[in-house]
Order: sequence, then C-alpha cells, then structure tokens
Amino acid sequence: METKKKSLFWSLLDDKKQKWHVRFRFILVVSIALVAVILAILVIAAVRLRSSERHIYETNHVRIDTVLAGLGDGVVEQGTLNEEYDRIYIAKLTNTRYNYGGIDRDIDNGLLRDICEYADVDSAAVIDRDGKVYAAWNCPYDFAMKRFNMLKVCAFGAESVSQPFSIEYEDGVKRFFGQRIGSNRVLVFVEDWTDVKANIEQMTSWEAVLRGMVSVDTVSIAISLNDYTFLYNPIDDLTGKYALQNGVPIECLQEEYEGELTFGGETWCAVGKQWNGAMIFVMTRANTNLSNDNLLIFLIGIVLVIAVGLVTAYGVIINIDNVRMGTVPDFITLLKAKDADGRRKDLLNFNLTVARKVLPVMIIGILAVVLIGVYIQMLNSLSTIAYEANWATEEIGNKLDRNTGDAETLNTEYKALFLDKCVQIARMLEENPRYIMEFDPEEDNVHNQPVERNEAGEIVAGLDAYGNQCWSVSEQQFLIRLCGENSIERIAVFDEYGRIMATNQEDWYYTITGDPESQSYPFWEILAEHRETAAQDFAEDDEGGFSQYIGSAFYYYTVQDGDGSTGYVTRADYEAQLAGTWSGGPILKHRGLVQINISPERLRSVLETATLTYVANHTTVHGTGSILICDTSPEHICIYSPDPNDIGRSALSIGYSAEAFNELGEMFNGIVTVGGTEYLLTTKLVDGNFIGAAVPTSTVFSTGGSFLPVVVAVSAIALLAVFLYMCLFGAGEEQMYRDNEGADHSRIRNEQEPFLLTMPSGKTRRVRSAAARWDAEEVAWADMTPEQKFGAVAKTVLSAFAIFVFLCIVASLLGLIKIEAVNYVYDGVWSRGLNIFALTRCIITLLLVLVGARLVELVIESATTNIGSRAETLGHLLSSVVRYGSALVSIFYALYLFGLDTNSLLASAGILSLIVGLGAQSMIQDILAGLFIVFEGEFRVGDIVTVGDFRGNVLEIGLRTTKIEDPTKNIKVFNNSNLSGIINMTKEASYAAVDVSIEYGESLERVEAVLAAELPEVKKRLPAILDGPFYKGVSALGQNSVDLKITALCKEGDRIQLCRDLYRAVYLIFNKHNINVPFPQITVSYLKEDEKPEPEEAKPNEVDRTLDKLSEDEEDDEEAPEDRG
Amino acid sequence: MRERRRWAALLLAALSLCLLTSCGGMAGGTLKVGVKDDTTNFGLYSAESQEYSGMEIDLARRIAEDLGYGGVEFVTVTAATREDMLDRGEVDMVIATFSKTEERLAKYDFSTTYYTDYVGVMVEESSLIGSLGELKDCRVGVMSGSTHALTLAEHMAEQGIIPAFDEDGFTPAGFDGGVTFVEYETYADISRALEYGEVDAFAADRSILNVYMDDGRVYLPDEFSPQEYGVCTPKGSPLSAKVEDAVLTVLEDGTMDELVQKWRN
Repeated sequence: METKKKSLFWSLLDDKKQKWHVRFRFILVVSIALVAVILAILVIAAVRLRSSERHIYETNHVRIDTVLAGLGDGVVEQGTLNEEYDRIYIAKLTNTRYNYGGIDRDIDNGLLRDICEYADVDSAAVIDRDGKVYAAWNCPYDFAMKRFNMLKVCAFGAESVSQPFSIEYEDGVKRFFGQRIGSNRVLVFVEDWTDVKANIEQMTSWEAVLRGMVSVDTVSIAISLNDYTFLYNPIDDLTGKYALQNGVPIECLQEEYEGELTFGGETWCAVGKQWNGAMIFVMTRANTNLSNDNLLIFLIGIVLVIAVGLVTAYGVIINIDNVRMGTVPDFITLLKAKDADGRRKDLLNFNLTVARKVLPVMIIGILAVVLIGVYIQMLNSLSTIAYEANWATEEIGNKLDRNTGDAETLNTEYKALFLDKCVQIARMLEENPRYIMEFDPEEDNVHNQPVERNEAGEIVAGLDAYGNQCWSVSEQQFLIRLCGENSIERIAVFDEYGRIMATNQEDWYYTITGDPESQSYPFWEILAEHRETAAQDFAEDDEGGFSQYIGSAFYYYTVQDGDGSTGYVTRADYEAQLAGTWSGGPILKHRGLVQINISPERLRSVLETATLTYVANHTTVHGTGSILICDTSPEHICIYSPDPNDIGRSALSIGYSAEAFNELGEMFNGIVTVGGTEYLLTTKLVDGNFIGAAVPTSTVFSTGGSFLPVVVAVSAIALLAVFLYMCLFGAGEEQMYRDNEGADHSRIRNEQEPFLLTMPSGKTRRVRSAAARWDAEEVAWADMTPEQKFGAVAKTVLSAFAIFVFLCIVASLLGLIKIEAVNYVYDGVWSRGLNIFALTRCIITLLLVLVGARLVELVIESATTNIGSRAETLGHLLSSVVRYGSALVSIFYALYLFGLDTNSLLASAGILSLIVGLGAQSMIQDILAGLFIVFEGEFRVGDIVTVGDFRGNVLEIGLRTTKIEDPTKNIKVFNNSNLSGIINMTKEASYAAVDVSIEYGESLERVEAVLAAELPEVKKRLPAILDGPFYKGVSALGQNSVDLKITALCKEGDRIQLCRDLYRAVYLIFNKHNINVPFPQITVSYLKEDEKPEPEEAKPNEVDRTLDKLSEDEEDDEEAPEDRG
Repeated sequence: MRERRRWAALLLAALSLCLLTSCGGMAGGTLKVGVKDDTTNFGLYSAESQEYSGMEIDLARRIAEDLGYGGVEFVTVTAATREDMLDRGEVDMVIATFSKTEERLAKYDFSTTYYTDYVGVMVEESSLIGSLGELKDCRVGVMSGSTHALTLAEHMAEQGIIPAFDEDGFTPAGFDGGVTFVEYETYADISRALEYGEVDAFAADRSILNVYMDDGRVYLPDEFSPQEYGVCTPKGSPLSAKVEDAVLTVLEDGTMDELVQKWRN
C-alpha cells in the first residue's frame, strides 16, 4: 500500500539520498531557462512599451508645433477677416460721403434712411464731437457715453475715420463705424455684427483649427487659462465644461507639459504648450498600440498556459494510470551508472509509452499556439489598419465638405459684398462723371488707344464707330483712391462698345467682346442689356494670381459741343434735358460697364484648402499608408495619388483591381499589388468619388510583430520541456510500476460498467448503455480511462476558456472593457467575404450562440426537470428547437458573412424543397433522419439493436444509411428513414428467458424444489449470468407438457448464448432428478414386456461427471475472453 | 468578515468623530470656511462638478489639515455677506480675497498676509480713456460692500485729480467729488455695464479683473492700494492663533509660493 500511494511525479522527496538527481537537475535547468525566456519577453515588452510611448510623445512634440502654427494662422486669418469686413463698411462710409456731398449740413432722418438703404447698413446717425445726435435712423444709442469716444474723437484725427469697435448687447453684437463729414460732424454706421462675428469665429474657431489637426487616435484640445474651461475638447463633448474637474489637474497648465491625461476613461499621452492665454494639448490615445500588444501577449499567454497545462495533465494521467494498473511502460535507458556495488543502475530513462501518447497532443498544442497567435496578430493589425483607413476615407469626405462649405460661404458673402460695392461705385460714377473723365494735365495719363484689327481686317479696338481715335484715362487718380478705400485691385470703366474708358491701371487696355467663349462674355451681356450685374467665380488669372471679376452696368451721358467735341455731363443734366430745362446740345445716354477685380487672400487660402489634393495630402493612414482618389468612370481615372505620375491615369492600368471599386457603394477591403508592393486597400464611395486608403502589407505585422516569434519559441520550448518532463524518469522509479504489476485491479475500474465492445478496427471499447447516454449519467473519475480523463480535463478547461472569452466579448460589446478588434469586427465596416473579420465575426457569433444556447438549455432543463414527465418532454423539445434553431441561424449567418447571398440561398431553399418533393425526397428524408439519429442519440455505433426482425450490432451511422452487423457477421444496410420502430437493446441488462417442459403427472412441487436447489449452482457455473436464474412459474399448460419459465439477467450480448446454456443446464438437472421432459412419442407395443431396459441405476453418476466436466470446459472457454482486467 | 469588520470600525470612527465635533472639539471635525465662488484662481465653484477650486480653496484645505480637522466645508460668501456670516458664526473663518483695512482689523482677527493684490482699473478701448486723469467725471463700477471705491477716490485725490474729501462717512453711492461710483451685486454685472457703456471704468482687484479681460478692454497703467489678503477669524476666536501659525508655516515652507505659481499660470 505504501508504494501505491506514492505519486510518481511528486516523488522527488524519495531521491533524498541522491541530492543532485539527474532529473532534478534537468528540471532545474529547464525551469531556469523558461524563467529567463519569460523575463526576456517582459524586458522586450517593457522596452517596446517605453519606446512606443516615447515615440508618441516625440510625435506629439512635432505635432503641437504644427498646431500652434495653424492657430497662429487662424488668428492672423481672424484679424484679416475682421479687417476685410471692416474695410467694406468703411468704404461704404466713404462712398456715401462722395455721393451725398453736403450731408453734414442738410441732414434729416429721411435722408439718413435713404443712405442706409443706399449703403445697405442697419442703422446710421450723424453726431457731433460731444455725441449730440443730429439725425438718426434706427439708432437708439446714447452717443454721449464715453464708450463711444472712439467715434467722436478718432473721426477728427488725421484719418478722419474711427477705428471700428463692437459692443455685445443682449440682442446681438453691434459694430460701430464712424467717419467725419464736414468739419464738425461724424457719420456713424451701425451694423449687426452677430452673424459676421459668429462666421469669423466659426471659421477661425478653436474647433475649426484644432479639428483639422488630428489623425486617428490623436486629438488636439484647448483650455482657457482665464476660466479653465475647455475651449475645444471633442472627447465626451467636454467643450465648454470646466477643465479642472474633468481630467486636467491644474499642475498640467504650465508653460510646457508632457504627461498623461485621462478623458472618457482613457489615458492619453499629452504634450501641451501655452498659447495666447490658452493651453493647447495634442494627445494620442495611450493604450491603442500598447493595449493591442498586451492583449496579444495576454491571449497567447492563456493559450500557452492551456496547452502546457493540458499536455502536463495528460502525461500525469497516463503515468498515474500506469502506476496504478502496474503497466510497465516501454522505455529506453538514456544514462547508466554503476553504483557502489558495481551493479549497473539506470539513471535516466525515456518512457516510450507516455511519449507515444503525449507527442501528438504536444504537437497539436504547439500548432494551436502558433495558429492562434498568428490569427490574433493578424486580426489586431488588420482591424487597426482598417479602422484607420475607414476613418481616413470618411475624414476626407468630411474635410472636403467642411472646407467646401467654408469656401462657398465666403465666396457667396464676398460676391454679395463686392457686387454691392461695384453697384455703389457705378452709381457714384454715374452721378459724377467728372471723377473718371477729369485728368491731371501734369500726369499726362490720357492715351490714344492702340488700334486693333481682327483677322478679317476689321477694326475692333482703338477707333470708335465714326472712325475717331479712342482715348482712355489710365492711372486715374480718383479710381486709384477708390481702389485703396475699397480693397479693390483694379477698376475699369468701359464704354458702350466695350472699350476701356478709364482705369486705375497704367497703360492697360482691354476690350469686352461678344464672343460667347470669351471670359468677358458675361460683361458683354451687361452692355447688351441682358443683365445688370455679373460676378464671376474666383479663378486663376493669366498672371497666375487668384482673382474675381465683378461688373455692374452704369450710364454715362455725353453732349455734342458746338465745336464737335464730345463732353460728359451728369445725370442731373440729362434729367434737366428731359424736363426741358437744359440749354446745351442734345444729351445722349449710353450704357457702360464698371468692372472691378478683387483677390482677397483669405478666400484664396480657404479655396486652396478645399481642394482634394490639399486634403488628401494632409491625411495620413497608419504611418506609411497613403490616399488614393478615383472617379466613378469605368476606367476609374485617378484624381489623387501620392505618386503624381499616377494622376490622370486609369486606376486599373496602375494595377488596382476592378473589384476595389464597388459601384453599389459597398466598402471594399482587400489586397492589391501595385508596383511590386502589396497594399491593403480600403475603398469607399464618398460623394461620387472612390476614396481609398492603401497601407503596405509589410506594416501588418509591425504592431507587436516582434512578439510573435518569441512567443511561439517560448511555447515550443515550454511544451518540449513539459514533454520531456513527462517522459523522463530516473533510477529506481521503474520499480514503482512493477509494484502493482499483476495485482488485482478490479477495484480500480468500476466493474459495474458493463460493456466492453470490440470495435471494427479490432480495438476494444468500453461503452456505456444507450440509456446511460440519454440520461447523461456521470462516470466516476476513477473509472475513466486515461483518455477519458484527459477528455474531461480538456473539456472543462476549454469550456472555462470559452466562457472567459464569451465574457470578454460581451463586456467589450457592452463597453465595459475595450477590445478594439472585437469592437471593430462588430461596429466597423468591412466587406463581406472570406476574410479575417468575417471569420472572427463568425467565431464570435458561434461562441455567443453556443454559450447562449447552452445557457438557455440549462434554464429550460432546470425549469422542467422536476415538474413532471410531460414538462420534461416539452423541455427536451424546446431544447432541441433552441439547439437546431441556433445552429441553423448561425450557419445562415456565417454564409451571409462569407459573402454568400442569403436571399438567393433562402430562395433556393424553396426550389430545393420543390426538387425534394419531386425526386430526392427519400434521400433528404434519410439525411434528416440521420441527423436526428446523430443529434438525439437513439442509438450509437456499438449498440445492439433490433430493426424489425433483424438484430445486430451497429457498425456505422452514416448521414444517409446505417450499417448493422448480425451475430453471423452479416451486415445489413438500412436507409436511415427506414429505421423506424427500432429497439435499442443495449440496456443495463437483458433477461435470457427459457421455457422448459415437464410431463403432466410429474409433481410440480418436486420440480420447483429441485430448481430452487439447483439454480443457484447454475449461476456459479455460468458467469454470464448477472442475476438469477429465476424460476418464474408456469408459462403455459401445453397440449403435451407443462411449460415452466426460467429467466436470468445478463448482458444483451450474452443473451442468446445464455439461453442455450440455460436449456442445457436445466436439461442436465432434469436428468439428474429423473424429471422427464415430454416429447411426442410413438409407442410401439411389443409382445415381450420383460425386456424393457432399466438404465436408471448407472446414469446419475455419469451425468454428474459429465456435467462437471462440461462446466469446467465452459469456464475455460468463456471466462478467458471475459477477463475484465 | 474582515471587510465587514473594517466597515464597522470605520462607522465607529465616523460616529465618534461626529460626537467629538458636536462637543465642540476640533480634532477630526469639519472646518467651515467662507470662500468666494465666482473668483477664478481664488475661489470658483463649478455647478457641474459641484466642487470649489482655486488658490484659496487649496489654502483652506491646507490650513484645515494643519489644524487637525478631518475635512473642510466650503460656504460661499460674497464681499457683502462675509462679515455678517462671520459675525453670526455661520463660518469658522473667511478666506475670500478679504483685504485688511484698519476698520476690519478692529472688528476681526486677520492672519499674516498670504497674498497681496492691487486695485486696478479696467476700461473699454473705445472710450479712449488712457490714464487715471481722464477718469475724472466718469462713472466707475464697483462691487457693493468692497473698499475699491474709497481707495480709488483716495488715490485720485492724492494724485490731485479730484479735490480732497472727507473719508469719514464715505459711501460709494453718495460720493460726488469729481467721480461717480455705481455699485453692483456681482462682478459679472459690472462687466456687462462696462460693455454697454453704463459705466466707464471697472475698479476691482487685479486678480478679479483678469477674469473679465477681453480683446476690447485695457487696464489703466496705475496700480495702487495694495490689498493684503488675510485669513479672517472672529475677534478673539480660539482659532486665530492657530490659523496664524498655519499661515506662517505655509508662507515659510514655500507652499504659498507653489500655490501662487500653480494658480497664476
């Protein structure tokens, strides 16, 4: 008993005498090596972690400078924009002054209203130096307040214009402009500035600037140092909230900062700098890469532990079993030594028996670790890349929309404002033609226009219709002033023929032509009275500048003087002529054109940022990835590519496959090879263009990639070590196996487990009764074979793992923890098909469904078990529905994920049923029946069943047929659908029943007494009898005999033979006790009655002897194969 | 079990603390401190997080710790209410940009100055007021209950901008010696009045003015009347001496410098 208890693998203590036992030393070395490798991994991980964190910070240091530069631009832009808007209103003031000469004297509210209308401003007032209001339109302000000193004082300075300023009233922001008129008055314009301010702020806001400065996982935030609120923080919508209580310690708000900040439950690596009363942080989600790496290591670690644990468990189980059963394993002696007595002694042995069994498990373990490692790595990297690619494609669309929106708003506003200006200028010139026609004799700026002829030789410029030389005024002083005051590049005044009359430019001639192709055609339309105004879009002009032309009709009036020269008169003169009060020559009215040319810088830069190229250039994907933009034409012409040579070429000719451009708008993920490099390409249809993000596949394994080989190596080493540990045993341990050799093991294995089946392959298999299968009986641990034990352990461990993964996934989906890959697989957009995301989604779904269905089944089971048989049946039914339903749905879902069109699949299921109805019905029935047999376990391979008249051993259950072998070794093949009314006889035990007959007249009491005495003896001789034999009474009173029933409990496999043995035994008993068995007799009567033979005397002895002899034979024959060792 | 026992112990401790506090003992009790809730960097209450923050809040916590209190209860006071609340015993002490004046020193105990501020004047750029001299005949917005009006008037009188006046019986509203004062209940109101032009200048401590500074406003170059902020306790309070010690410690060990550094960006 002492040796039995000794566990083989914890028996190191036995080796006390040999302190440095070889195995012990080996284990020590392996352990140290393992620990060293694990430490190395940890060090690598730590270094990587540090370096990746360092890298994030360094990147952010660079980024923040970009952000600050951008903010600088934003502020400059804000100033520029403000100034530009201000200039427009100041110009309005100035223009008004030109138009309404003398308003300083004769002003009233009505005139002011006209002025407001003319200049398109909200309100106006005329005040004096002290703020006294002379006239006001819509202007309730108390200008006597010191708040308005700017208007009152500055207007009398050298500029005669006051600096504009704003006041935030409750009903909006008002901006005040003032200009001196006359000697003692100030004309004040008040404009509602709320929209303008909001517009400017929106275009130059923290959000507008910071929003554009991000890549995936990186955001910029700004915190006001005045009131510590977030000026901009997109995380958790924190903008406007108080920073100190939302994750920003006051200590962070230094001149410069580098460290971690926490927002939205995530840690961010932040780099911050102060800028203009605000703290700007550029932050990168800290745990993206790190958590992915950690997740990778963690999962592979778990798989490794499971693999090592299972291999160890299997080895231990086999070894313990061997020791218990006294099976001496095959082994090779590796090391030998001589002990003190000179006897040879084994120091180290290699256990072949264990090795043969453990080796396959070990190989499977290594494969599992490698496969799962590669799989998780791929999934992680691909989901990260795909996520970033998605983000990039969407972001490009958003940015474009945003920038285009900004540009359009600005463009529209500018157009309106400058058109307004142009109209004003036209009216001003109409009123005062002298402004354009007066020329400075000293400047000598009047030119004869050069004569131009077209191809036909007709004069198109330089001469008027009468053949007179045309002249124009260049560098016209008033126009130059107007340009300055109105921020206009160029003003040109054209006459009715489209010839230049006056301009602020030097020696600049231009003729408006009626050619519809010409750029100036819209302006010719003005001259032709088709339209009053024209405003072109911004465009690059001939000189490479960026400008816009705006034109407005204007009228000028000429009078033919007495000396034949043409003079210009005002509209008032023309009106006088109409009224009949004009005394000079006839005045002619001409329609001319005032054209202005503007090029505001801000609009130009905004328009630039609105271009596709700009946006694509400023978007990065996963480090080295790039953006590709193609149109939707069949050739998919490349609009943008990082390689300028590709632009304008067909994407298909560059090497992108046509399937990457899904016209239906579905997203595409796939691998393309362009120029010898493999790219992971994600494309999407955004606003009529295909936007793609291409990331080189070489970067797929860059995230945490260096871990994989190390982890795989470690797992291989660990498993190898465990393997060796299991297989090696030292000196003297062999004896342990021998201790139990030949001992009685009947107590170790449960003798009640009745079935030892011989499988077709020749191996014997221990099976449980079919009933046990249905009732889910548990086999005691001690009764299991090593393989069963291993199976049980593996099942438990893997179930635990599955439940763990299940919980992780559920937690991740609920947002409790963050596994990005899982979230991406569920929330992200990826193309359906045979890819890793579909596979993962499939695995996850299967896992969820399996665990979920199992849980539901458990609930149903526990709810119905104790209620009654009907509830239990219902429970079984429900469980089946859950099981098959979930399986069916899962299969369809998986097919859907793998890109099959499930609609057509479902439709084809209908067609299929039609076919079934027509021809293949029986086959489908067979298959379905087969599925049900397999799922429900009606019988299994090895069971003894009776189908109709055929009784036999189930050899094989196929999907369509089942093969049953009868005792004569004939195999009958049944279609599964025909397997109805099947009797499964593999129960705990069967009854072997025999009917024996006695004569009428024989004493029944005597026979019963004999049977009662003899039957227990029969049991001793017939070991197949489990219980009995029992005398069951009289079964029939036959024609010739009284029939008695005798039964015995036995295994089904023994029943037939036992019946024969029972007949024999009973016959022998009857013979022994002179009990006659009746048989049909033909009585032949002889005359000599004395010669009747009398054998009774000798027989009993003979019979006894024979019986004993036979019994011995029987025992020899039958007991040998019945060995239940 | 162990966990439960620990909770029980905690509960017991808390109970005994409550008992001690109610007995008037201070060990482990809660210190009631009157603080500002609208002054960025000094005492600011965030309704969202329901927390106070600022230099004075940190100081109050530190003093409570030094004095052996278990915690601090912050009570919002304003310039107009802080004296009443001290008088009524609603707060144990006031740390609320409370500047020392002779008048106040006579009524309350003040600790050593922990922070010195100056009175400044903020004006709108568009008013073109560039110096104190130009403030003559202007309307100046001040916080009701504060000493800013008096100090400004005194300073202007010293500079000869306005004629000298009798300081006794000075009330901001009643003053008409060359400059007019308008009293408001909150600083935000003054800021709004300045924006609308109802007042021409905004006089307050620079630390407060900083909060209301924007692009269209400027400070007058003059800085005057140092305001020495001290921790204020009721006259003869047993706390006074201990608070004084605590403030001295905070000043000596550099904590105050750190706090100033921390809260002045």
